[in-house]
Amino acid sequence: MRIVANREELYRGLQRLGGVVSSGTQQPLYRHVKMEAGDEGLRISATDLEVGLTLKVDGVQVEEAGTVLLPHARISPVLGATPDESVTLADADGAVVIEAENSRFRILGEDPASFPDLGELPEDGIVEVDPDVLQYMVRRTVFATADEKGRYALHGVLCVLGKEDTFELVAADGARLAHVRKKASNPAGVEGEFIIMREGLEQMGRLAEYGKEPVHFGVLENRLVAQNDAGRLVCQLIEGQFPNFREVIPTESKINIQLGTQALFSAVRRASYVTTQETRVVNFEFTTGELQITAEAADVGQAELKMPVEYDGEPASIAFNPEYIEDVLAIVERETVKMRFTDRRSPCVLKSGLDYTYVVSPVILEEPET
Amino acid sequence: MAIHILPSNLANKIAAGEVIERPSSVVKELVENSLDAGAGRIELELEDGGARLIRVVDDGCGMDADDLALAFAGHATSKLTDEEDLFDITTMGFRGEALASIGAVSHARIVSRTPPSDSGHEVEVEDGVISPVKACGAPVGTQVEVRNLFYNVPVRKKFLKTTATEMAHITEAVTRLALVRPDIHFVLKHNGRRVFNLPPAADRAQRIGEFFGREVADNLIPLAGREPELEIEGFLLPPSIDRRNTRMQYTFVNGRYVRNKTLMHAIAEAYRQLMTSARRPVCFLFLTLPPRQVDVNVHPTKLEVRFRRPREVHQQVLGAMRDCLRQARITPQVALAEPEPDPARESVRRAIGDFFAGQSEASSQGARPGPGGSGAPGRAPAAQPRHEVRFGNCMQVLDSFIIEEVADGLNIIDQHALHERILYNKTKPRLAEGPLNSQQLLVPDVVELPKQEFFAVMDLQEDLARFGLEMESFGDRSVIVRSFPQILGNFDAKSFFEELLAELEGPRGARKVDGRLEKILQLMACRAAVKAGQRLSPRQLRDLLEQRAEAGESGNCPHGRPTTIHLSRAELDRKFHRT
Repeated sequence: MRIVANREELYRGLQRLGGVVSSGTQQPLYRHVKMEAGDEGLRISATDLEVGLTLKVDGVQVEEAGTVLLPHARISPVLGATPDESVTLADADGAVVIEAENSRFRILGEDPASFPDLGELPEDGIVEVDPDVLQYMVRRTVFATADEKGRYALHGVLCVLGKEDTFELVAADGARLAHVRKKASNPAGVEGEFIIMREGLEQMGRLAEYGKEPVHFGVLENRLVAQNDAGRLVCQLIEGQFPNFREVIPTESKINIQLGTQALFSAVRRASYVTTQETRVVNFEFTTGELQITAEAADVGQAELKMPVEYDGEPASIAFNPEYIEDVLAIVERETVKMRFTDRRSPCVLKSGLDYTYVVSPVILEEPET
Repeated sequence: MAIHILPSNLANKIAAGEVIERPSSVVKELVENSLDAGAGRIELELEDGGARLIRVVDDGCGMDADDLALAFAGHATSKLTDEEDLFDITTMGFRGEALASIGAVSHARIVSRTPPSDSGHEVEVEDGVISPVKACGAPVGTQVEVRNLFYNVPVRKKFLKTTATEMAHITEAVTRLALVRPDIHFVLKHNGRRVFNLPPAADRAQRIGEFFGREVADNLIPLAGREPELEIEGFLLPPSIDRRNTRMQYTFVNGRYVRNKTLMHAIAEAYRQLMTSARRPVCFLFLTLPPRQVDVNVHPTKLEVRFRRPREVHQQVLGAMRDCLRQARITPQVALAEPEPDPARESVRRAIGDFFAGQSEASSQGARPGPGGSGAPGRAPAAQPRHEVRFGNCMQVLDSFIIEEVADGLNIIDQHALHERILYNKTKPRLAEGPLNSQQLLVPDVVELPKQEFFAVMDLQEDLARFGLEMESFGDRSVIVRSFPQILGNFDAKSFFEELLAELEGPRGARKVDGRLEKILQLMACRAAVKAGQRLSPRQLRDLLEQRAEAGESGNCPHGRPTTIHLSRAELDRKFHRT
């Protein structure tokens, strides 16, 4: 292999792979980058056990086709720190020589044959989604997945392909759920659902960001493959039972209020400054024309914030983990959100636009007496 | 008072519902009957928290043979004749459901005598069969005996809680009735022991004192207000005497204990600005309205009422309370209220043997010495933490320990053990005040368990509820978890139960009630704490060390491992031969 590469382009590609390269003590293989130079230019790939990513690198002249496997942790900083505009990479006896005007590095590599085959986009059942739409959907859901303490199926995001080109993503962590529904071109009329690992979906969103063209994706056995002009992503699917999200979203609520996104975000964020790990609670209290948000921790202090709202029903209140409210308000762009709930013990719905629904379960502060 | 069967159209007007949920419901219904019968003295005798026996003896107007014959029939009441009466209720009971419902789920017997008659009569119901009325000797008044409650409803029976819990419910029920009628002599006995004996009190304040102790009695601020359609009287307490929940807000409407949103909101509103928002005021409010202004027939237990004009009631109650507080010169306080919980001073309740009585003593003793603590050769003793910390001079090492410079050397802290101890110390006093914050699950988590473990877990239901974990059985081996302790952050029910049973040494160990709460608390603290191997941000590091000072005693983790090892300057000097 022998290539002349635009250093910046190559370095950017390696950085983008950084999210997929394993850190820590796994097999060295998963800490390496495969570089493949051929007729179509240079492709670089990395994988941990679960997600694999291949990216095209622009600005590369291939002088001699070939494949090498290099440790990401070495090659990436070397290219990052090289001042020159272009660099030459060539293999030599299992190593790669990186040459620029005033520098020459020889980095030892591994046998490229040991790198696993990441798989191709399946031939049938391909769905096509607009890159902006995909990023919008990913941004609105991934944050709501469960962390490592939660139920396994909830570590991923449920992807639902339905009739009339509907494409839905659903993420939940037990106490909240985010649901976004858009359209994706689905000429084969594929219907079904599968759970994508959180990291995989994040990379899929990034792939959409790197490219300009629509993202094509399909499912092959237990893997999702997604591809666009920037590259290709392969991701393991999660086996497991995702809760029936349609049952979780309350259809009707007694109390319906429209709120300013920024004002609410600011009030909840400020109130949360006095919460602690043991009392991560903000209380919402609606009275005629006013929402009062309070928080308190015995060992910190208390906060009380007021904002005017259009409300003239009975006094109503509900309490939340402030993170759950901040998370969603931080990502919705619309000026207002609609909030609806029935009482202190039933789920609350936040809606932004017609296509986005966020459901959050309240924190119960005390047993109602019977 | 003559008893007759309600016309069926009227009976249907009254929503059917379960009146008898637990022994305390029986007690409430029977005592209400006694009050309606004009009793001056009501004596209650209970065995095994009411599960084995509830006996209510009064000196009221009694029932004659004809009344007794109908007493256990459905919708038999002496208190309501036609539909119009339903909207003009002046008696405590009226639905005619209570005795029939009680008779249906127990072995019950009534002995009664009216003042003019020379002898009494008795009637029994056993296995649903009502016996003929027999003459017998009896004092004037009525005695109702309810034995083996729920003997034929195994589900209910199984879900009766511990005797202490049922007694707490019963005491609460009697408290509510006795507060309304200080003129009545109440006696409550449990398993032959007298729990309380309250002779007629001079006034309500005296009775409140008998139930809730000196601190409350000495601070009562009397309140009185009169509006055309509403009379309010009662007592408020200054904000310094507060509670974590609203249970000490006793509200009565026309002599009936109620929980009503309008009233609760008015109370909260009156005390707003006067106390911190996590604390709740204490008050006793007695409202009298024309019966037509309030609907008590919302629920069979009559706990809920609806005002015909809630807005006005809200305004008037709030106005009266504000006036009262203003006159008592109670103005907003600037300083934060003392976070320490008030020691339970509810003298009557104390007699019942609160589960936490032993617990809170244990907590004040501080931690037990840990194994391998002091004295082990070659090992630094578990240090009492030094609080004179120079922040900034601390670092995390190996993602598990914190090294901290202190005035005379350095501390090596096990981050998990310290955090566990902090959470434990903070949570324990909080538990005595009421359930912990509970994060409701959006989707209830259903866990299937081996049979033995299933029963062990269900047995812990009530204990876990204190921590904010709500669950119920589903079929005969699955548990549905509806909410989890917020302190845990995130939750997987299956692994939680596994660890819980391991902590309790298996299903067998879980049945030992002693120290069970303690172990659950330890597990919660352990699960909620940062783990070894977890990288901490500088901010988290700082928080952890700051909290240590607030959390009090922190030398050992709840399991007894040391949280901190102290290396003194002298010891370091010695090791490096710097003499």
